[in-house]
Amino acid sequence: MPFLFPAGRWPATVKDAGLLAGLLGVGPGASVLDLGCGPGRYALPLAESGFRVTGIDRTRPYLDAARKLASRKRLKIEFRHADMRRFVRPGAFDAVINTFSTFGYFKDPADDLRVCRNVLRSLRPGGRFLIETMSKEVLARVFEPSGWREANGAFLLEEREVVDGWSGLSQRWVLVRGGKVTEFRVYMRLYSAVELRALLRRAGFRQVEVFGGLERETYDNNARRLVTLGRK
Amino acid sequence: MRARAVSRRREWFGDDRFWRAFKPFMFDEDKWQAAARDADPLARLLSLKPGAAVLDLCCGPGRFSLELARRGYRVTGVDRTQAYLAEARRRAREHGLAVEFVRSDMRRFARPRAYEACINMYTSIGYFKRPEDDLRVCRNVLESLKPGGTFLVQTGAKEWLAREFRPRHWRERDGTFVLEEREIAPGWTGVSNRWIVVSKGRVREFRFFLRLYSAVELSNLIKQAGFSRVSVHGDLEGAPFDNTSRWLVAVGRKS
Repeated sequence: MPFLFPAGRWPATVKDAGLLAGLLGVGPGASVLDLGCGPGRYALPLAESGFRVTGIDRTRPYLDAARKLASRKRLKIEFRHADMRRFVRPGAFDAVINTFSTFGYFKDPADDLRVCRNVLRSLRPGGRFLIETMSKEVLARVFEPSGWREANGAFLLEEREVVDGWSGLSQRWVLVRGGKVTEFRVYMRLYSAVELRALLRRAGFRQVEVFGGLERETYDNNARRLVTLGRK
Repeated sequence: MRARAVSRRREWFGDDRFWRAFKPFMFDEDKWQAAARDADPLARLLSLKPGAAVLDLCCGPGRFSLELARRGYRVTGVDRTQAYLAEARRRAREHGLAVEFVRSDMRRFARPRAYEACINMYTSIGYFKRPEDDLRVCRNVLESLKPGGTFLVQTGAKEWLAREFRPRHWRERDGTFVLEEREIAPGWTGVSNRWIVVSKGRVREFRFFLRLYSAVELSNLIKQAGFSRVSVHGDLEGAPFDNTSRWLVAVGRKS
């Protein structure tokens, strides 16, 4: 957690939440589902901005951290432990977000489609689904086969490999904390903008826009992130 | 079919001046030598049997057609650029090689079940304005192949261009300069190019758009056309397609 969500810096700001809300075309009072909310990076500032937020995640320690922060800030947020392959609440949300490269984790590509279909069902008509992720085109530009970071006296060593004809990123994460070494294998399916757009359309989103960031940047060779916006 | 007539006049690749102007840069001596080196791995990747019939779609001046003919394959080279076909025929004559060169548009060319393999080399896909035309080409190839036949596409992929992208660069050869300027289309769907050639005190400018494919996108296109299995590689030796690859090589098999 200290690496993915460094102390004091990780919650997105109210300004970021405003950008997100602008893209989603929703105002205060709207209900937003944060799919893969983690420790509440966007759920917290969205709630602070007056949105009714539901955050789901499959990692309990993240949900605990999120709940603690929410209660400290006296924010009413529903945090639920759930798997996005199963979570559906028909017509319940004005918008759904999936940020910070939280897409493409499942082994079976059909599960990604299933998630998009679940989201479509959970949205009210006209509602929007935003995905913000690392893409093929961005990764191709910035790719480094290895690197390491440091936080709170611990070290994270990363090794990356592009696999399966550029359809996946296989990572080896070695966590060194107080002389204790723990290793993880992390796999993520990669999408190009065209591929992610095609997936969303296949799931039933009629209109899908593509951006290079939350400020509606053009998705081209200067883009640092891929943002897709599907409309029900 | 008449209703879907191909309007040649408005298409950039229908301008023979373009291909003549850039020929010294596209097909220099190094490229010819590379084809001679690549022909054996290419034949292996296609699992060609001796004497197999091969269609070279967008054969240009015949780099691969001639090398394959030299190895005993029965080759048909198809291209739409008259000047390239003339050179290909001249070279075939000089080397005593029998190759059939046909002037045709690959959106139209089909010879049912005539070939064991078809190749499309050196980024010769994605030129058409309409994405459906790329699919149409793949369907023509499927039709032209015998059952079990293979279709190989070698192209500069999205993943490679994203890594190597430079908005501008220029090259020089024998006193001729080529200036290139590129812009990625929104959504990374393709690349707009502006090429300027400065030769003998003359400046000519060409603009063209190339649709780009990722490995997954090209595989999907080939599958959509009806090929049963598609494998992707990073070169003609069959290396994996990854962050070090210069080329994307996709091979589809007709069942």
